[in-house]
Amino acid sequence: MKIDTLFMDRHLNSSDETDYIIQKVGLQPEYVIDSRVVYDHVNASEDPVTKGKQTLYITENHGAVIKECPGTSHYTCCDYTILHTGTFCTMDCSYCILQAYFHPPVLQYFAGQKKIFNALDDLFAQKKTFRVGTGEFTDSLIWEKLSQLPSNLVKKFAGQKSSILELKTKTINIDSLKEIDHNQKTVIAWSLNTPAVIKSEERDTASLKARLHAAKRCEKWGYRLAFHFDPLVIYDGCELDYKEVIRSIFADSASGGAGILPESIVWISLGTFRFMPPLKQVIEKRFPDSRIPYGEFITGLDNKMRYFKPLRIALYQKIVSYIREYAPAVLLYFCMEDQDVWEKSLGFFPKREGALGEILDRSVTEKCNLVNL
Amino acid sequence: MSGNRIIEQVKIDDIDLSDETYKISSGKFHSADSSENSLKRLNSNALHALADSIEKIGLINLPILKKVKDRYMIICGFKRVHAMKFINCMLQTSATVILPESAEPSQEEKISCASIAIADNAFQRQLNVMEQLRGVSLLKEYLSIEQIALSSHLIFNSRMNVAMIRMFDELSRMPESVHELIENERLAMTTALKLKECAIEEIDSFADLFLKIRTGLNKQKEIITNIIEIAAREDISIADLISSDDIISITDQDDIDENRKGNLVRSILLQRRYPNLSKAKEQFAENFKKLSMKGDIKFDPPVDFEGRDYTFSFKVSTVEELTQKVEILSRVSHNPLIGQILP
Repeated sequence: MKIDTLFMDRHLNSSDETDYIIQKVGLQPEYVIDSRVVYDHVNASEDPVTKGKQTLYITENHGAVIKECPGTSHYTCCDYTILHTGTFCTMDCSYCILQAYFHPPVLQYFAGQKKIFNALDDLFAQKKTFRVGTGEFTDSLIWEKLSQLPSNLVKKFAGQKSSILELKTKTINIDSLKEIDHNQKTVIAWSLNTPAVIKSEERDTASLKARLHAAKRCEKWGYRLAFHFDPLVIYDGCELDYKEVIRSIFADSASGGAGILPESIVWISLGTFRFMPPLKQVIEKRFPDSRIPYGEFITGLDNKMRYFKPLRIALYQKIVSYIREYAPAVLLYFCMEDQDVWEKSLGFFPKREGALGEILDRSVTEKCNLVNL
Repeated sequence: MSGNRIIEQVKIDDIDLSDETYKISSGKFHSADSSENSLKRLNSNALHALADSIEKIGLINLPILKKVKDRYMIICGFKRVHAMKFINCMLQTSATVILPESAEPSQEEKISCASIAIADNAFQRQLNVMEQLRGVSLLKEYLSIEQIALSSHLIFNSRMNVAMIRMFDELSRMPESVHELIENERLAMTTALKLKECAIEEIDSFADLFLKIRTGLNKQKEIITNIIEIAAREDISIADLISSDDIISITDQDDIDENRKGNLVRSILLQRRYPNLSKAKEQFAENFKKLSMKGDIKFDPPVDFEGRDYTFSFKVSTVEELTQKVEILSRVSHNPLIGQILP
């Protein structure tokens, strides 16, 4: 979605960073003292979610720059660390929790790289392994066209040895990452889905083919990769469609695939569609043709709506088997799942608190040459 | 308040019974055909009783009429005027007549008439849902929702907030079939609102269904939600779903009462909306029977089989009873079937 309105926090000092963004956006900003002006602008629309995607607010982060991923209760979490560089997204996925997470939803860019880098320095000084991502409250690379922050972060992480940066995206905005000496400390990750789901539920995102092509380019530049099958959507024939997606990742170009090498992949995560109940109304209103909210959902232990567990397990088992055909050694894990799912789909369960995080840490330590101190 | 009012004698034949612009109370008094035959179709028992009373005791509260050229339209007192039509020797009546201020009634006059029509009823008895709905609909032609809310206590004899008036407004724009269901208490107001996004033919299908079944508010909402979602997921029309053999085989049965029909329809829809979950629950119930757990021991799976905890529960009031329960549970724990049920 195209940004048509630009606000900037009057309290922010102009800088090369903000000048760069303003020049890239190509709009004159309206300077505001109070963010409520921005929220009112968004809320005045009949569709605040769409409006929020078209309105960019350059401000500073008044909260924590680095925080633990909120995860969820009752299900196993991966102990991810969030680098909070912005909020919301210009793409428009029907299932996106950000539609119902922010009130109102506003595209925010947190200017002030110095603050971000100082926070990262403190993190690195702990000499522990951290898996840090910018793709929790936004798409990591929608900003690549507007800001030098993604490439600057790659350079920042390249200068240390204990942690990795994960840039998670549905775009193909990778050009600025090409010439960087990343030192293998950045993982470029793509969320993947079937072409049917991408077409019906992921507006303004890159096609599957384009995402995999971009992934291959990053692989050639030496980056480590990750893939997130999240959300997996259950529909008639979905198993075969996901099988084809997996084939597309690994099959060579002669067979129409991207030819991604399994050893380039630090992990593949799997997670079926789950959502907080209020999201259903948002989907029904903004995506009236979507059938995604009408699956066989039950209320999970964390009050999120989830597919009935046997259906989740059946799909996970198939997908695991499809991936294993091509990449028997690649690390697979579930996002927010329980013991039954783990044991019946992967044959084991990281029961101890922190166990899953340690498994992921080991993978990046090996594949990204981290040094444990 | 606009309009001069006088009390005068009015010929009953000069009162236009066909104009029900300001009628908010329920019950038909007049059909499109104003012939003698159509009068017979009126709710004659109630009107006869009122007519008798007026004849013998007299008219206690005068109807309020508005003079329109050489005729009169009823603002309030529809029942009274219709009843007087039945009294053969009654050719005229006293009435309070609002005289027009100009050839074309002003906005203020219309608001005034509407307010009188509502208040006349509201200050004598509590208005029912449909009467409130009609009242709001009438006022909404001239006032905003916020304006109606501000003066609701003066007109409706109760304070209505903006949200409530908005709800009545939305309901007023729904088809007549929904209004009838609400009026006959076959459909709750809040449930009816779930239908507002549906097309007219879909609403009529729902109306047909709810004429045949009876359920409480929450089950009504569940039935509507499940029908909408099943139709969307299976890519069929709501009308086709409601008229499918599954549903029709229940609703068209003469020997089942409406409450039971409601429960059966709800059950069919739940199975269709959640086929795998329904099957799992049935399977669990079958397995439970096979365990033959006597002694009033309840055995419950985790809610929707999501968690991992199954629950045995029972009550005891003596050591003997406790021993008995423990023996039953011990026997069950050695039953191979329990290994299939528990993870």
